[in-house]
Amino acid sequence: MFTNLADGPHSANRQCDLLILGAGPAGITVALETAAKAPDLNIIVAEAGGLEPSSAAELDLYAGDSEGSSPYSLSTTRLRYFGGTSGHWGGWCRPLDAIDFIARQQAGLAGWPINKPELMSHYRAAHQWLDIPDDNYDPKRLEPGLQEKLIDFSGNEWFQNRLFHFSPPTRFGTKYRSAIEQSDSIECLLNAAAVSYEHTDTRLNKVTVGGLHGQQITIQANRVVIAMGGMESARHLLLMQQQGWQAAGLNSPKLARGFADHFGLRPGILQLQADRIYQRTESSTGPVMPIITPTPEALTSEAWQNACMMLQITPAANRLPPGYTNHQALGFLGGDTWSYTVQMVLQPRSNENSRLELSTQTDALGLPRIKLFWEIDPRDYQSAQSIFTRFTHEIGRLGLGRGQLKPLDTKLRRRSASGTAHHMGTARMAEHAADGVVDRNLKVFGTDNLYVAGSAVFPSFGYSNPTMTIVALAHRLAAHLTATGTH
Amino acid sequence: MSNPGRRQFIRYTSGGIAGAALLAGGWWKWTSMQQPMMHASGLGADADQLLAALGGAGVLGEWIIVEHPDYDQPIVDLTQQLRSRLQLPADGPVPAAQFSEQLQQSIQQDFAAAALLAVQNWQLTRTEALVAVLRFKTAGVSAGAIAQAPIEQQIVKIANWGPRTTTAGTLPNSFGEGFSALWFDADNAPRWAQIEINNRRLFTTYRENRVLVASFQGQREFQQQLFSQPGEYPITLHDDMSNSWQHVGNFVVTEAAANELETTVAAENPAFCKVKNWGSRQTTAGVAKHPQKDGSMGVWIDIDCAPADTRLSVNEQSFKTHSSNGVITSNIPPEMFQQPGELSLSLVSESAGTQLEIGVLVIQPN
Repeated sequence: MFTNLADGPHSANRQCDLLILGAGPAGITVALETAAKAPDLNIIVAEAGGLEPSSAAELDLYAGDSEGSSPYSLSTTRLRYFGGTSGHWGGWCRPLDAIDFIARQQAGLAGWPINKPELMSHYRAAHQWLDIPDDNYDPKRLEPGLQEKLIDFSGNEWFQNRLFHFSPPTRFGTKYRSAIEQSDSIECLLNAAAVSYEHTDTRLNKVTVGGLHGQQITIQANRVVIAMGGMESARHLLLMQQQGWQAAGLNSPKLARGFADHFGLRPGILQLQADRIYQRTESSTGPVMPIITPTPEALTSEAWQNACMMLQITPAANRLPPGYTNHQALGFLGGDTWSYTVQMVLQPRSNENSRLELSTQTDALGLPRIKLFWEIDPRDYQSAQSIFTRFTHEIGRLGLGRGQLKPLDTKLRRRSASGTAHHMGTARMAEHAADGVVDRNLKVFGTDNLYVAGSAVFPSFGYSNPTMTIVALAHRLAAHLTATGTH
Repeated sequence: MSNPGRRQFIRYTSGGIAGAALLAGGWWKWTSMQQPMMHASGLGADADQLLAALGGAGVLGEWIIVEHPDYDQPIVDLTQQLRSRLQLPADGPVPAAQFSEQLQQSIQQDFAAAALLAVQNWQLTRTEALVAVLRFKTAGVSAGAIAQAPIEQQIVKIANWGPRTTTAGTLPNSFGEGFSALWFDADNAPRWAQIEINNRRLFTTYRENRVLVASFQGQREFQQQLFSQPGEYPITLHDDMSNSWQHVGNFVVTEAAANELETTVAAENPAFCKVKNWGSRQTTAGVAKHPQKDGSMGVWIDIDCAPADTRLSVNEQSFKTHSSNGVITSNIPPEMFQQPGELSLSLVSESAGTQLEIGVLVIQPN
């Protein structure tokens, strides 16, 4: 059921078995999965917003400063209402690759304390949550007509074809609203933002929630899951740290450090065989997006970050002379060639200087605002250039065309870098508090009952959009919470 | 109608090869017009014939010499290097088949070994660079390598487009970062189609297989210049794949009228503060952005101060507003956004006798 705190007055104190702060994809998944597995649990979901998009005054609660080398919007990349950012996501889905879970020091990439097989059953469940009927990401499952439009990388040691699938996209606030409404064990408090915390050495005892409406209630919970998104979760963990809670995870050197987002790069142009399709297209089982990625072997041998490339048909003013790419004597396979702008999504390195801090300014609820320093590791640009350069070599070697590199101007690219609203890495999952904030079960190190859900816990990021992994981890967290009892 | 002036014939010609004849047919389709050899390469008649048939290579050879002068060597030296690279005998004629086969292999090996040369940032192999320069030195540049001017023809039927006009000094359909955008209802347009206004290409994207959106993103100075000068500016659609273009219409920038000047003055009147931001600035016909319970569409204006009796004027119809924490909100009834078009928004205060222009809400076709 839903309770709107703004409609007050309400009982000043509440108790529950499980309190979930935030009703985005992670929070809703944890709530409904836990309720399904353990119907006797009393669950409260506290959502900072209402059922509809926030007013400007509410959105101002998200305002802060962006002071990094690359500008970043703190407010437009987040949504403060039931359903969270699923209210504006595009539906791109793909599990992380197995190699994304593995630490690769040479490439400067942290690993996960779990591996992909441990997450596979949860990924399968995530497909259902996200309304994706097909969990096969191998382009060989495409119908022949589509396969013919892909580059044949059979046996290629450097590159391979892969797929993205698409959720409709599932709007959690719409699709799962009735399930929350009808649940006997879940109460969703609307307009109920966490404003203060009470703790002992190892337990978060009470959370007070309130809003601009002036109503407040305090909730005593056996366990608490913070699922507010990659920025807001870090903000509240920093707040707990600021209040003097000495739990190891809250005092980890990694807390709120290593903020990352997937940023777009256009490393160059290809003049390539006509009619290659590496854009969103319809297949027999729904929409797909073919992509080109380095093989795991190439990622390892070259110490590259993971990346994917899409080809956008874009007539370029600058082409090779007419006729040049038709000559078999020069190794070309023949046929018309088109120009394609290469769009690359690169796995960002976790950059310790990229971070969130609490500001000395406060918002209308009295909470410190945040300052974001989004800093892209300069080596990321070199990696992108290296991958694309090798790709142009392969395109040439295979007789498919030629590639043109865009000049690398790191400063210019940093200034014009544009994020994709994937807020990741601010409360990393790790084996030890020295390396992260939460353990392999997403529990904050040094606490008995505080968990974090969402992309904040990603220790490394791959190139895939995070929602599918967020939902898979939330599904896994629900299984853990129900398997380990109520205290 | 003549093609907008920026487009000119691009001619890749050099030396004694005039090559001025424009070939009929597709833009990139090489017709195997062969050039008479000006000079023998020393590889024999067969190989020379193959070299002469490598259309486009001569142009590339010219580019290479400009960018890499060390390639500007006598033919005999280039030939010797090529023989060595292709592992051909040091002298004697080379059969065409062998020349072709060795050439392909060497280019493949160069790519695998990254034995490359950047020419206008194109990644080319050292082998093909040698061949291209040799082709240029022996046979010059082919007529077929001359790029043709685009032809005017209908590419796609455009059912509607907009906005079509603005007053000087006002950005039409401007978005959050201050860039204007034009929309074109063009079912089945090529997804690579591009829009130009006054011969300047705009950042064009294709949405939902129907609507082309052309943005001034990245062209702030041009945008400012264009929308500050009254006049008619041609809008054209371009399909570079088929080397064609079509006229869409003219965008009209009108003189700012006297009453609009008064509005500007009013904007500086203490009655209203400056509008910091507002939205939504666009929607789709029949779709209420920020839908309200009665089906109306909510709009918001971020403004620090406004008279208490401020009303929202939408195409000269007036609606009540609410003000809270520096944000004015109001609702536009559904009948006003059922059809594609534009709604002109302003804030009006009778007590202050002023009107503050906000901007244009664009209703795109659904």
